[in-house]
Amino acid sequence: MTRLHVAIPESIDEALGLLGKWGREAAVIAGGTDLVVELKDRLKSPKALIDIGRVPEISGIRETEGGDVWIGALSTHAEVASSTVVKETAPVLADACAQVGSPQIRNRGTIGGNISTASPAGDTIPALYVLEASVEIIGPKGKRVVPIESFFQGPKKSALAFDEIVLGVKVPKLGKEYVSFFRKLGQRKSLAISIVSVAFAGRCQEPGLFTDVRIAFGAVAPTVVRARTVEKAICNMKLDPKSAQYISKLAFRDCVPITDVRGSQGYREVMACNLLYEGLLEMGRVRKA
Amino acid sequence: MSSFTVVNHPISRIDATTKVTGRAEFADDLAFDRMLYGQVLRAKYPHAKILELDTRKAEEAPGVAAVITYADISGAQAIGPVRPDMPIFVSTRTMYLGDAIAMVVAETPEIANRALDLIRVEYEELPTIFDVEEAVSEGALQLHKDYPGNIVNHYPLRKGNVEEGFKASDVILERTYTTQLIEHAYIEPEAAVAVPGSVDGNVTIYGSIQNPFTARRHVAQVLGVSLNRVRIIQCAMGGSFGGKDDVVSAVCARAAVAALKTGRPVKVVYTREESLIESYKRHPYVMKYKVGATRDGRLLAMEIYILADAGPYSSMTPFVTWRSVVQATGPYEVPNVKTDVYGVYTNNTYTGAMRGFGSPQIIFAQESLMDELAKELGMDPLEFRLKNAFKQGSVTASGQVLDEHTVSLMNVIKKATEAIGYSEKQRAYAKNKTARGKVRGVGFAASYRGVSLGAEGVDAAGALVSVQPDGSVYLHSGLAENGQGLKTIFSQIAAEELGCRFEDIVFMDTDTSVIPDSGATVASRSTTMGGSAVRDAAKKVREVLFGVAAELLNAPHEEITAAGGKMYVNEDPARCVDFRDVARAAYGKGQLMAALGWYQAPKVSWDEKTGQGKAYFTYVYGCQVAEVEVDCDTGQVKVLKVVAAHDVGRAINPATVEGQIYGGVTMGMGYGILEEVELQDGVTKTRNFDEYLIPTSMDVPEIVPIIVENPDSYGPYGAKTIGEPTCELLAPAIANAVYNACGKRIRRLPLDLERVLLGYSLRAARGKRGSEQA
Repeated sequence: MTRLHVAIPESIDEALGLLGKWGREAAVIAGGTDLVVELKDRLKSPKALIDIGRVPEISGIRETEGGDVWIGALSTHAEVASSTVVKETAPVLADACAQVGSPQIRNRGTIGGNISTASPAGDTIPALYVLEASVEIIGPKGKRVVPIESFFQGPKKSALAFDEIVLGVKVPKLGKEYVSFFRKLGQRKSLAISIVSVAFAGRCQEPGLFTDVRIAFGAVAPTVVRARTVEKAICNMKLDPKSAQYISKLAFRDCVPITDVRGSQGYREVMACNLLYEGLLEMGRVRKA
Repeated sequence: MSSFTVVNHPISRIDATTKVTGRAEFADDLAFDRMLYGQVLRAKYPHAKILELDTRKAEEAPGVAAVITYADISGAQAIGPVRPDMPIFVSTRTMYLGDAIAMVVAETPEIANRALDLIRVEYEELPTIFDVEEAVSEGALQLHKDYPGNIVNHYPLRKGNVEEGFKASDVILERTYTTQLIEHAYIEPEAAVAVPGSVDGNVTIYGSIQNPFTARRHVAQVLGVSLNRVRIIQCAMGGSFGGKDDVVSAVCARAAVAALKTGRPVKVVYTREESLIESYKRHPYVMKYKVGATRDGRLLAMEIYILADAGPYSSMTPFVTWRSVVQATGPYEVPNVKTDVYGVYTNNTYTGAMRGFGSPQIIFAQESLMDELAKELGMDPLEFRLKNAFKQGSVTASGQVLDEHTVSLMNVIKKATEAIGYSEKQRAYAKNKTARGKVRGVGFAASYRGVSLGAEGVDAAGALVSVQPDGSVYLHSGLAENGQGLKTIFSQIAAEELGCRFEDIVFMDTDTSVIPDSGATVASRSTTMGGSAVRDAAKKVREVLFGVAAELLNAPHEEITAAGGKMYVNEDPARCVDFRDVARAAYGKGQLMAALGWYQAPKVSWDEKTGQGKAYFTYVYGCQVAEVEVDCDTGQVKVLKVVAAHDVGRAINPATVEGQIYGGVTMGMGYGILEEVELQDGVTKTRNFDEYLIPTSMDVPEIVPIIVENPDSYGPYGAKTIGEPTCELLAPAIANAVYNACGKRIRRLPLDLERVLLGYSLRAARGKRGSEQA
């Protein structure tokens, strides 16, 4: 009978020590909403589980001296969704977290887990892309900070080495003149993995006019992607129903979806455009400066 | 006001408290000393020859007590309700992915699970067949040599002359509709524990068993013993919906064989993945309809050709497809009908009973067709249906005259459509012209449904009422609680008939050693059949008690009556005696206070060659209307509101009738827009509820139940049926509403996002599950 060792470190150093000891035989667990399923399906068979749930250095949500918001890796989706500072300064992330899975999953799953799992369908990731967040990582060689877009390398592949742990994410605040949204399309209203998701943030100069537009799509490429073609187009145009229709059709240029059990490639391409269109229509109506 | 004391009242379910407080005992909660755990090894390929099976390494693994295979079975190797063609363990050939090859029995489930890896099976893959039309085509691979053309069964129905009917028609429409494979999705997967008896060769089985007598018959056959050697005791059920029949018989049989081989109790509990792979599903149908009508909207002829995918084993296919052939034209007068329904063998997951039982498929077709034909004729869908709908004395496709019960079809259609404002909304929404954004639509579907088994077979049930010396009551029933509320309904009937207090009745778990074989708890037959048996038993006991009460009250026997725990003189209720005191006195006099009740269904008939006859002794009528919102940009269909009107004869418990409606509507919605078990070359791709999507509480729309009561001449207090009719109507109502909203006619279920947006679905499961997928 194979045994599974479970360790519950109480500091980040202890956690790193355990990771060093077990190396690739270890799996780090926080909420476990992805890992437990993989263990059950025997897709992963680690010899040790390192439960980082009690590591103080990676919990909490706070404002940094540099004026950013720091979200500890252990913050659950429910905590992020209800955090006042996140709601005020990065509402798109609060929205995304509120749309993850179900109440049970939001109470267990963590933002660090959502990032580390590196699924292109992870709901927090498009929001972190448009916030231009960065991921703080710690490993045997110390701390490093990786821009969110460089963190992901493919489905389930990231810049995180086997002996490293995500500490948290640093999220630059969106100024008052920014508006944003997160939208996802699933087969049902809750407990639905995204078929396509889209996040948007942009500085609203005057009604319909945006600068510094950032758009990211989920579940349409091996990683979440920024839609730079669309971003550029919006900055050159006033948003109204007609231009929204034109601009949204450019979305497929930034997307290379696949066919899977949730949606076909062709459908996803159309959905990326339509989901963006619905959002842009709303953005075109925003009165804010 | 109701003239009843207990019946016709919305009494809380008697099993509600134990269930919501977690105290109800399910099969997996049971533990016995020295209990072992069984884990099943299943086929690697849907169709393959087994060249070699080597279990030695698994048998030698520490903690493993035995590995059970076909070689351990001394009785029947295969079971089936009609044709014994489903092996308990396959010996030479796998026929679908869920086939069991061996079961490891070990000290813990984990040991058993790991030992599965030590079993060596050598396969030779065989050619496969997954498509029903291919299966019936000339030169197709033959799966069973005794059933040429891969035909499980064929039901013809001939009425009038369709050629002449079409000749006289002004409009002829031909359409093909198809439905998908779906899963029952009971919350508790299959589970059973077999305990060897103190007498050699006896076995007692506890389990999540829909039909204890069916399970007993199959286990006895497999063990090669008489029926009285096998005792089945039903545990609390975590849902069944028709699903815990054949597959659970197989689970029980494997556990029993293992228990007798090892001399120890053996528990088998499936994971959701095992359940989705092995258990039978609802039949996918391919339905070709040709219909002819006059210009003014009178139906003249219908020609129907249906292929039902049975998978590799016959299971309930002959019965499921029989209900389809009876009801295929819908609740409409059609003078000329030619119907042919075929069950077809394939290598897909086998199919069997599921709530609806051959009706959800045909109702999707016929009710979509009625809307399509109305459109073709330029008529209002409601007006068109009412013109052709069954009324008192109408003749069905099988030539049955509907004159023994109230034919309330028009009434339920009017009630349901008026409650949602169908006509006005339908006209307003039909003007939707936008190609983007969200649009609304309304649609409805109506049905008639034969109550109980009909000419399927023997239809009788029993119940035992036993009043104790203190006036409390045991109630035993041959039909079983499956979560539908049977315990409460039967207790209400017993209390009403005895005149005792409702809370003085204790409903006993169904035990095959106590009560006569009452057939299966299926076909929405419990209230009608079992309820009548309870009433019969209670009446017999009551007569004894009335005699004693008459003496105590010094009044003539025939003037005694009882209600609410008191027996009294009819004309003078002040002259009364407590039910409990009567029981005490009766006991003191040495009177028998127990009785076995029995009810046999009225006579029905069927001619297999012509499909003519009195198919069922009575029918129910229902109509459901859906209001939906379609997102033209995504294809997403949101069901906003559903009105469901059902004639139940008499609502024994209006609250549980409403509960059935809420649940049935929700299941119907899942069938309509979400659910599909995806098989890729016979391999189940949707293996858990992250990918097999059923509606969540967030998706359930506002549901307005309308109970219509036209007491029947047969059922207890006029009660008929509610379980299945609630689950057969919503999918076509949604399809018709989607058409009303955006002009898209979708002839294949489910109406998922892609199918609504693009008209077809490209969904194809590839690779792995969950978040690993890009």
